[in-house]
Amino acid sequence: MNLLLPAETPADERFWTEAWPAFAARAPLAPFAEEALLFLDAFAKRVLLDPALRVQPTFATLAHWSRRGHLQGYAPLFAARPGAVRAARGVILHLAPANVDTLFAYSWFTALLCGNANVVRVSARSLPVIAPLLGTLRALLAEPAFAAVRERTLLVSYEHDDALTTRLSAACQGRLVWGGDETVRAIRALPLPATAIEVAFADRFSFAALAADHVAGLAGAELARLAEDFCNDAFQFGQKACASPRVVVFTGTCQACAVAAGRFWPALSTVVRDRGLLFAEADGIARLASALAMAAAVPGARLTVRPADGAPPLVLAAPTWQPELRALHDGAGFFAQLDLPALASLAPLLTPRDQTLVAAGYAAEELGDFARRLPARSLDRIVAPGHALDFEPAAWDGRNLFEVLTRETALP
Amino acid sequence: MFPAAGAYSVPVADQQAWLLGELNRLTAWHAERCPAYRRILEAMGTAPGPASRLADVPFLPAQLFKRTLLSSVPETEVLRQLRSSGTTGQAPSRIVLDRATADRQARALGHILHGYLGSHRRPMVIVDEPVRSGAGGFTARGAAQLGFAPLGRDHFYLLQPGGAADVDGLRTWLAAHAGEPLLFFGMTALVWEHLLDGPVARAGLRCAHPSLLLHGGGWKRLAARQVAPADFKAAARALNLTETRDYYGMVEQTGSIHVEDDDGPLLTPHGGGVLVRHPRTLAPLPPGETGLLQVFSVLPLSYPGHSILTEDLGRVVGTDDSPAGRRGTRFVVLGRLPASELRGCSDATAPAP
Repeated sequence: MNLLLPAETPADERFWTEAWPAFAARAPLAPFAEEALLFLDAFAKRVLLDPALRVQPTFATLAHWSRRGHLQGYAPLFAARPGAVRAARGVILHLAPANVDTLFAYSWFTALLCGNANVVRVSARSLPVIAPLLGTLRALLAEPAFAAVRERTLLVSYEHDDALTTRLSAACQGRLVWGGDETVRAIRALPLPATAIEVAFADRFSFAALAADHVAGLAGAELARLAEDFCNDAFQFGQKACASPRVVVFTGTCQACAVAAGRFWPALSTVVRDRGLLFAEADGIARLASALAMAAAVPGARLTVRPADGAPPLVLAAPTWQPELRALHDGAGFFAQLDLPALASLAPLLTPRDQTLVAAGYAAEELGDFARRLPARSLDRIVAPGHALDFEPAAWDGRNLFEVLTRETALP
Repeated sequence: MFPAAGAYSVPVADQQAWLLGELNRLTAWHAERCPAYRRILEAMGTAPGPASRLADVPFLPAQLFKRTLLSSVPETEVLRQLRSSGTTGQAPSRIVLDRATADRQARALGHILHGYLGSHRRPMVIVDEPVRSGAGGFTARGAAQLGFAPLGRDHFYLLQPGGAADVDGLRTWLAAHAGEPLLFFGMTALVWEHLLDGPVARAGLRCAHPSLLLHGGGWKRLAARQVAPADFKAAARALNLTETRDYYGMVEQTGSIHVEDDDGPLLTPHGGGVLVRHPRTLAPLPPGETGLLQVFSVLPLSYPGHSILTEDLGRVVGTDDSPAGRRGTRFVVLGRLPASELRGCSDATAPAP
């Protein structure tokens, strides 16, 4: 195991005999403590003032999220119920995914805002991408002003090692497992103190729904804006994020859907080209293989969008809903398209696996009706285009993480 | 399909005209028998009727066989299933063989290697353990051994259960077969590890007569150890393996192998072919340009594997220009397409097996 924060050192025997017991025994901060806000705001400023960091859209988004001005909005959520005191849980172990590079930070920062001490395990595979962020964080944590955060932060990296995860878990009051179903199953099998909580994020699937008449009626600039927002939702993490849409549903008459698709996909292609989002050549092969594997299972499906230059999007239009359309494919710019008469027709097709719906062109009442018709546990969020990847700790996968990561002590 | 004059007897222009007809028949054959393949052709908007040139024959990405089982025979007709070893974290390819396809593969392999071995079956050393059929069918390595073993006789399997080389056994066997040229066969990495750079070489064993070494499979492990083909050949000569031939083949097209010509390039056999495509646009590229290799084989009847886009990079270097007078397309393989950098929620932190 290597320690990456607060300083870069190998975890030797002295770490386990001295630093680790001290870390595990340290009292948590108060929820929404000024020390945490100061640290996060300072981090945001460093990133946004660093030209090398702020050009990375995912880093810039994280920095904006970490600003005091943004986090202040969460203050009311930390209020305890009358007759109770809100406190941090203690030590939280975060098992971050390798994929969505900045998620380790959102998970840690959320728990830090709650007052917890945090052990964050990041995958070695994500290190090349996040190394610049870690450098900034390391420099900040070395400053005397942030000693309270430094003493409550351990960012580590190790290859999968059940014994090590078990050892770290033994000191924790909570464990956050980000990852696919396999990871969740594997980690759940490892013991946790009986009083500790565990939150696991499984494989999820996401859709976009576009009202065909709305898309057909957009002026050129509005259409371009929709395509840009959608591009952010889909491609910020190469369409690998759970919240990135994989199935795009057009709703309306057949004719309107055809017109809408005929405008939308070329607009998306333009954005992809303008931004130079070509992906690797291997991604192009994986994209095609994903599409053909789905085509093999869905009668009547057609590849309707396949740019000659090999750039995304690649679109497979299905005549009717088939469960195979929900296959967890490689992403990289492959979309299944389904046309439905109305948004309401989508509701019965959804399952607990489905997390995010990016919706464009619907009135508030229509979305409300739709949300009330949803099958149990399906869809945790309906968002406007451009917001699929917003990290919202107060409602993530249907849970308020601020509540989950704190506790209340009832007063007489 | 098997010209009497050999697998390298027909000039490429004539061979490709024949190949196109065979491939068109196979496209129609599989479209009729494999509903999943038919849906794929429809989804791709493949024009009905025969393709008018090789570049228009529809192709499937090799990794599609890792994602979906494509079979053109009823389950009762399946003789065995082959599985690729699969790179880490990926599902293996699954290929179903019926009796007819397995027979064609065996005949094709014999036909190709006849050009190098003649009709006399030599005593044969297999640098592996005897293949076992696992629960899920044969691995690519096992399938290769099954295919090549009939080309020799009096087989000696160099590896013991557990993977150690049986050096004493080989010494005895070599002594018993000292009167004639031998055939050695194995996966390139295993041959290097156990034979050429391993205990056999260290024990100073040699073939009494100049002999032939056939080897296939990736060079990745050797390249990682800085072993060049010239080093490999030099090490082989030390064992009196004076002729070494690499071959390029894959579990998706067993039997249709491309064997190393006398001066290095690989050579397409009569029943196969190769085309190079742009790695991004997938447009066909002219000879001499580097791109993704698409391979053709006339053999598969039980699964639609007659036209496959690999993830190997390569280049066509000539046609009908073998120094040994062999006819065929000559090409070189230049390694794998670099892996994707994308990572995802769902597969990111899967535990190590």
